[in-house]
Amino acid sequence: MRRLVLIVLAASSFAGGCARVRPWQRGRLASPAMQFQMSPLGNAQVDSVLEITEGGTFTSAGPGSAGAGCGCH
Amino acid sequence: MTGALRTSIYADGDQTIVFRALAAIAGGIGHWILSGTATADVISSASIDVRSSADLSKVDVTTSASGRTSTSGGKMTDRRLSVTGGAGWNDGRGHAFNLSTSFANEQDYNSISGGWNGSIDLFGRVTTLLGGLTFTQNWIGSVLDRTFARQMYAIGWAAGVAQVLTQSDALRLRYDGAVANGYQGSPYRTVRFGDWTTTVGSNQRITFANTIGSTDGLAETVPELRVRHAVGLEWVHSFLEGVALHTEARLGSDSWGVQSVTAGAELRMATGNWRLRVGYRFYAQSGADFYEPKYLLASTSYAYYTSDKELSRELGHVATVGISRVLRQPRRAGAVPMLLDVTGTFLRYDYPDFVLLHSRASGFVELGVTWEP
Repeated sequence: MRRLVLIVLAASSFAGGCARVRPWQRGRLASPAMQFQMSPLGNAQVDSVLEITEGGTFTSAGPGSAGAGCGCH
Repeated sequence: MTGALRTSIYADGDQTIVFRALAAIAGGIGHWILSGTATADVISSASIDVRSSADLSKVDVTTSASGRTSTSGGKMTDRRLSVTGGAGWNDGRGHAFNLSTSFANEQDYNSISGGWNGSIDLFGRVTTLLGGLTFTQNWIGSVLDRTFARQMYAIGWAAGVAQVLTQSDALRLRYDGAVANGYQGSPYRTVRFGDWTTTVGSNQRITFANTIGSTDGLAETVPELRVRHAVGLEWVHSFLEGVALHTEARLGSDSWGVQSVTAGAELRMATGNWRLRVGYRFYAQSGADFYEPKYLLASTSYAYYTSDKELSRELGHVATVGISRVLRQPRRAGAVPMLLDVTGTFLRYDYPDFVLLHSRASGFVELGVTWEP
């Protein structure tokens, strides 16, 4: 875990040093199409279906967060 | 203020239908944002899990009843309610965190969870570090056996970094982990032993023959501890103003031997009063170490056994089409538009090593009014 944190910090430092995108150059980045989740609420609905349907898919909220019960969904 | 009212229906070729209604709201007070979500699901299923279950196939589990039996058999209904509340803080200068808690209830399943996540912007806000931690406690029961009571807890964590690369590119690298400890099987799923065969009778009830031991089989048993890791990379690239391609790849691995890979791409447009997204996602996983299509020997030969198709080899294809119309543009700075949103998701999964069901196709359609950026 500690190694992962160090890698993430090192990568972000490197990337941050390289980027030269100023605030006034971020018009395109502000578009809804450029967000990692274009529709967070809509994505959450589909994610819950995928978590139940796929054995290897999980959220960081942990197994069971999508509900269980009959196991038929 | 943001919010949503959404309704959706899920239906699949395995005779399962789920209706869902969702209401969500979030509002800010100074640097604080309070949020709440309520979700209700109504589930009706005569899936392969239900019809092959030794107990459920005998019961018309209108599960609001206390194990009421009838001769109709082979169908299950349930409802699920969940509520989530959150409090977030954002200083407007790149430091934010959010605390949340949720509670979910089914006839035979309760869970409560709490979590924290936060982010820090660095280097002129071109780099964002992300982190999160959650804890979930689950209580599992059975509508067929009121004395059945098991528990499972799960701890999840996440860390990542998002990076603005150019005026048209952004990248996010994210790691998710989770550990679950406790009962992780289903009290309804049973496993038959031997080189069994099946026949389909009335009400499509599945009966087994040529088994070693009881034709009803034994309740599945799986390890109590499961540790999971996943690393995902997303890249979003803008071709034109308001037109972008989002791509993602994810690798997952867990202590049960399930290895998974996900790859997807989504083309997006957000111009004028319209938003459109069209996406495809591929998924593949290996089976769990202890999964076998048929457990050919007597039960005593196995430490663990399961009839969960989600623990077998699995291939998935998911296609999504979503279209939104801005019904009302924001009238003041900081406000968000009101959107009418329709999304269709089409899923197909193949289970090459699951004898009772080789594939399943399903559809998920959502309709909603959303107030979000």
